[in-house]
Amino acid sequence: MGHIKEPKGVDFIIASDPLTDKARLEISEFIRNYKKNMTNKKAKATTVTKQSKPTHV
Amino acid sequence: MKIDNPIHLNFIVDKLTNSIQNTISGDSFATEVLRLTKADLKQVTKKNGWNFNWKVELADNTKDVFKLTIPNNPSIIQGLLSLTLESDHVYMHLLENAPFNIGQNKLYEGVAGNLVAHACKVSFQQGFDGFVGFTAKTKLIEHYQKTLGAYTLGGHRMIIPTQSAQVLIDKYFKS
Repeated sequence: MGHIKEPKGVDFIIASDPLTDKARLEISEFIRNYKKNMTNKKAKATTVTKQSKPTHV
Repeated sequence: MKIDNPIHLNFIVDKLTNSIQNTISGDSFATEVLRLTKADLKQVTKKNGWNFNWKVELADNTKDVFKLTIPNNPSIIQGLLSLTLESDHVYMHLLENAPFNIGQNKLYEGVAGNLVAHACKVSFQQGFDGFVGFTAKTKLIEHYQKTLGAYTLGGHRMIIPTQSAQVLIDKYFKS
């Protein structure tokens, strides 16, 4: 369990920018790319695993 | 056209824990996240030290507003969160610790992290694969990258992706 020290002089309050259509599109694009990359990584990992399996005769 | 000055997220994830911890005694307390009700608004006022107008948040039908409490002490709100359900992610609009959980003399640690983890949980429940968006202040971007596993999208916009969201949920909601 990690303990994260607080930056000095920062209040514990937040408020996000309003979500614009442009921001929505940027987020959606990130999500699409992230999912695509994860799928590619999984596919690559599966291929490597299959190749590295020893063959018994 | 009126242009609002941008105000960015400014919450601190002080500790990753499945509960909140009393800073004086060191005791940990289990937490629960419930919807904020109209009856709660009496204590969540600027007069009582809260920074945002939660009455407006609760009145906004596009937003879901949650409160973090300790089950044995449900009348005391430890922190608040408002979010919207977008087409493919959850967006956090406001997150605020209770006045007594702010600064060096705060009573409990872990409130902000609990509420962010709840947003991640909602994202999974809605079929958004844990994606949670928000806007961060410049000085806290690195902090969120480290503590939440969040990514920057350019500018102050940040997003918590699936894997990071799962880590947070496992931390906070693992039974």
